[in-house]
Amino acid sequence: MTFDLFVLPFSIGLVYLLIVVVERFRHWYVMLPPAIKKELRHRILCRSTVNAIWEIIREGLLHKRLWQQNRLLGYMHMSFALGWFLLIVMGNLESRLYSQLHVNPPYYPIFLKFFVHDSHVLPFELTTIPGFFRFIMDFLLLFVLSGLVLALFKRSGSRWFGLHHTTKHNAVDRIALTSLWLIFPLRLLAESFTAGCFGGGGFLTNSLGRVLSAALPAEHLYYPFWWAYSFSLGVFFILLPYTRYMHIPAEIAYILLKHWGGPKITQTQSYYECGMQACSRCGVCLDYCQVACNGNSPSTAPAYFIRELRAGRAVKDITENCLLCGRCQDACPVGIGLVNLRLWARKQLTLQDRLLNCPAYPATAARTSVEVVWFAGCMTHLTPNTIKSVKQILQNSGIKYQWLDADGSICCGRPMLMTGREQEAMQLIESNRKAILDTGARILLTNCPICYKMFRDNYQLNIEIVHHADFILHLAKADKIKLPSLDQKLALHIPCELDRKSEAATALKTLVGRLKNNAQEIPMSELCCGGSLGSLGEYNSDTKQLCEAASKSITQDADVTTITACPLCKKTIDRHSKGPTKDIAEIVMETEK
Amino acid sequence: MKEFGFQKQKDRQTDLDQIDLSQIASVLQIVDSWKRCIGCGSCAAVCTAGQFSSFNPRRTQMLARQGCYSTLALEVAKCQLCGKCRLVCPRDVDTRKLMHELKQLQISLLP
Ligand code: SF4
Ligand code: SF4
Ligand code: SF4
Ligand code: SF4
Ligand code: SF4
Repeated sequence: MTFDLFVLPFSIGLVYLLIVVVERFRHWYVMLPPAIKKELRHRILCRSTVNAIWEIIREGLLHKRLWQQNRLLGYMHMSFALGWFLLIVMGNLESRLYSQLHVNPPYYPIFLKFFVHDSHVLPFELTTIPGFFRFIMDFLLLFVLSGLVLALFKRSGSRWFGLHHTTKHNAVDRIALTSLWLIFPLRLLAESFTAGCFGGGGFLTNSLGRVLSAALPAEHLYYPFWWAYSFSLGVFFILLPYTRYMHIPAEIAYILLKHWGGPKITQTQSYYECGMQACSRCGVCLDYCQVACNGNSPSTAPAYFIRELRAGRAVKDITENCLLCGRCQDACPVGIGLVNLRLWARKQLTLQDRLLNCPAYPATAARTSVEVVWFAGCMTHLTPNTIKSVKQILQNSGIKYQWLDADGSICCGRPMLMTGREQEAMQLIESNRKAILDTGARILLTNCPICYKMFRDNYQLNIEIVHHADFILHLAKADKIKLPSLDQKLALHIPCELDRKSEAATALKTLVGRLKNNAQEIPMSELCCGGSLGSLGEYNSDTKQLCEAASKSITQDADVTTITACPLCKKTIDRHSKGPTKDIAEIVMETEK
Repeated sequence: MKEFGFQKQKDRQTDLDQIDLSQIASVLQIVDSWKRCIGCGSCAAVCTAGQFSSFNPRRTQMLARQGCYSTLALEVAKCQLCGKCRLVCPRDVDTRKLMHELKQLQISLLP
């Protein structure tokens, strides 16, 4: 027997799911610009494919990054993904041995125990490991069920998982979730009742079957349970494309796009749409997002922001409140480009057709063959102490430099870019870029992390870009500057625009470590000070809460000096923390005298 | 008159029947802190765009309040959204957000 009516719900669901997923994949491919399509076709036969497949196994099945984040959560996701995947693979192998056919209908392995109640040992198995498949199939089922138990615990209280927040779902999500959760218990019961009636089954289904059939009329029950099992599978498959479970196929597509699409892929519509679908709503980002944890807007966190995007709602508040601090992006186990996704959503909300009425840039000095061009940054002009210290450092070092914005400058364009106004930012970029390159310098020194990030990511200058923290460290290493050793209590605030993993951020940490004359640990915060230009939330009301939370994480006392390396951080923290706030350059120069 | 070097200026008063302040009202609703502005001009003193042009955030706000839309549209386009103004405002007005919202006003405001 190879067919029964009850396989229909599953089969219909599966066919529908395949059609929808293939259509989505096709849509993402078609939308790519021709150049990227070419790149993609070109890379299919390269190493990229091997890397992509490895990442799919590592992240899609094993969930390595999620494990690193949170072991329980990692185990839960892995047991579902890997367990289910292996059930399918092993089920296929098993059914092949039983049926002798080369091609089985897709439902056959899924419902094998209904069609074959074979209690004898297969000749093949005798020669290998007796009862291998029966054991392994039951073991895998148990593996998935253990994940399910964890999932139930997580719903009842996320604190079990060390998470402070867990995601909330809408109605369709809940129906899909219920059908997913029912699939495996129903499979267990269907197989157990069948084993209770006809024998067979492994350590789990066989023993459960015996117990159940002793108490219940198994011969009447096993058939309805196969129906229920098939039905829950069908419902889940049909709902999958419209719920967060779309992340299962989308994550695969996202990884492939990442590996095949080349560097320009991150700017394409397909990449954004696919990334948006690839979010599993695991909730890891909720605990990292300061706006969600300490601010006024919990739904700013990517998990909810993406949920709204998927529903076709570009909500202004949550699109604009994000600080673009990137903490969520560093933590996201799927590796979604969350900052760019937010910017992309902002671009949709911003009027693009009104160009910047860009004021004339001050006439630039002629080529002076200097080594270093110093661009303090417009914000740095609001912190004259930093300017003064950097100037002294430059003078003491004896390096030939040109101060490009001694009389001020236009903005680097990053604040503009962060509001979603790409074309206007381009105007500023072009102006500054020309002025910088005209000096012919080899090194560009800047004091503002916002400029630093912008110069590195968007200017394509092909000269070395250095933040003053890095610059001072280099001078200190070359013995061109003497670092003080301090007695006072210090705390370090790393500006988020410095990019937590950049050379400048590392240099800042090293430098501050060298300032201390005793071995005392310096508390450090990588939270955003709340003043980020990435946010378009109301500056002073939101900032206060965020800043207080950030400075509380490193110090509560008034006698602690907070060190930072950003004019905006300095201004913001100074306003909301108890102790004084100083730029690293000030600290170094203050004590040198 | 001519002998004294005086000239009679054209009337520059806002004609309340001619302007529609509803768009400005919606901006006021989004940027609540705007209501607190006392017109001190600190924002104008530090303005990045103002250093190289006639742009002035304080004046731009006035243009908005008075419904001088055509000048407003030209002026507000000069702001670089650098955010320095909001760091110095004694009344905690989020001037940058305000400029962002004024930039967002529908294109119908353009001359
Ligand atoms: S954005 Fe990333 S971390 Fe946040 S819920 Fe989605 S997958 Fe998880
Ligand atoms: S970038 Fe920062 S503020 Fe924005 S969602 Fe991520 S963690 Fe939250
Ligand atoms: S990033 Fe900041 S300091 Fe640098 S130019 Fe832009 S606004 Fe000015
Ligand atoms: S600094 Fe503040 S109070 Fe003063 S004019 Fe500007 S917005 Fe108004
Ligand atoms: S945000 Fe606009 S108005 Fe404010 S200082 Fe910068 S350029 Fe001037």
